[in-house]
Amino acid sequence: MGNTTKTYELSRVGTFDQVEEFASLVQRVARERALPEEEEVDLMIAVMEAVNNAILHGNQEDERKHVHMKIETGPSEITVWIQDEGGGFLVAGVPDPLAPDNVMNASGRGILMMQAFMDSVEISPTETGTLVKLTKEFSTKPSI
Amino acid sequence: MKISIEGHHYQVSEASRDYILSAAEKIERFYSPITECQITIKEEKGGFHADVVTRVTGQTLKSSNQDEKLYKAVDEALDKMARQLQKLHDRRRSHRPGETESTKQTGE
Repeated sequence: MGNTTKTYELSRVGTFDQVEEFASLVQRVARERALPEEEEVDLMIAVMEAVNNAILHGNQEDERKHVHMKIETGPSEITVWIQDEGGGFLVAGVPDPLAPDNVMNASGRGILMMQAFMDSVEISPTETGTLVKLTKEFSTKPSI
Repeated sequence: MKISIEGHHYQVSEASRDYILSAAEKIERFYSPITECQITIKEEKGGFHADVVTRVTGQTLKSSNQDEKLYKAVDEALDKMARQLQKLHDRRRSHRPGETESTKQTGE
């Protein structure tokens, strides 16, 4: 049982009143995987950062577009994919949030935030938008 | 901060509402400004389930807790939210130049 990989998927229209459902799925996964609270907090902040970015920057708050989330938990790590339906962007084109001219800007720090809380962050353009892949290794082995 | 308290198939009494409102106001000590804090109470077999959803600039966070006592369910869900907000606050601050985790710990 301990080596089982489990997959969860959720797609919702990209509006901020739907955001809670993505947070609920993160909570459910953390509870089923019996993650320590510290790791649940890291996961919640990073995933919700990506979901908010997908709605705001990816879908440009277009209510006809969706945000898709897939979570896979394995024996030693969790991987989360967040896909928007926007025009895509290049990471290299994002202004450096640590540059003196940008330091007071609220935007641009999202990628740094995700990197701070996860072990790996990959952002790639796809034909239908931007795909963010977040990976975190568990500090504990599954209890079941 | 806009605070809303709802009962899901449960009637929240005025006394409980006052208690929850007072407890919820304290989370602004951990992160400010908070745009909105929604607290939902559900009565379940064996107790209560409290959900807390908080919106701040560019982020929405959620915490939950169950307990046989209503106030304990709410208090612990709010405590969990406070820990999330504290961590978000610390990380956002540490991503500013000249302010690192170590300077923050020793310098403030």
